[in-house]
Amino acid sequence: MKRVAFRLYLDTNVYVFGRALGKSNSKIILDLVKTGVVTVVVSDVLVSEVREVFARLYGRDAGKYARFYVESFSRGQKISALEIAGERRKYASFVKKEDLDHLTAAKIGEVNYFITTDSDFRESGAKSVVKILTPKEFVELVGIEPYDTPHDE
Amino acid sequence: MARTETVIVKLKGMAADVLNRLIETGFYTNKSEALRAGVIRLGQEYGLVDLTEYYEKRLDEALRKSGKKPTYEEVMETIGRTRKD
Repeated sequence: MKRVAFRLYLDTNVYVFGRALGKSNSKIILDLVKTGVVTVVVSDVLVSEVREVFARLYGRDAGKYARFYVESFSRGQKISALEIAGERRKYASFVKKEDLDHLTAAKIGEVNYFITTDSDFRESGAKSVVKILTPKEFVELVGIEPYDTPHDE
Repeated sequence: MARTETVIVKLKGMAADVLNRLIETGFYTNKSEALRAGVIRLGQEYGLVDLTEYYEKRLDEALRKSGKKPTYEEVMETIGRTRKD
């Protein structure tokens, strides 16, 4: 495995599939974060969204713990909603309105890669401002044998 | 089943104000939740607990207990709807 420190922005789908699926590329990435091989950028908007999505899919307790879990990756440093508000205009023409805050947070956090399974986002104008990979593509990039999953999750 | 410890704490001044603001601003839904998170963070600061490991375990338990196994499409749809709300 390549020992390079990568800085990533993980889309909400990576957190969901990483925790819900035992054998997934998303889980490999979350495990890499724990070992320090990669660091992740966390934003206020991401934490709120992860909490809400887990709560809707699995119930209130899951939402609560998912929020704290993602926050634990931030090492006390989160991209605030205020920072995003100050920068989002720069990237408004590249993505749909609902994806704009995530793209902006990734840019503020100066990530190497934005990781997502969302094919619409991957095909959007976002690819001209940030490198986008699926979980499977990233796992391959670091030299780990990936899981062959239907959506690269 | 996790052990339950009941502690009566009197807060005043800055500690009470901070606790109230954490609830008012919506960071925590109630005082118990905020105090629990605070204790765990102290544990992390003094090297007594690995926060990621701790919450990962709690989260995995919550997913298991829910008994729900949404499909890929359901997950993506839920994220899409949440993002638009």
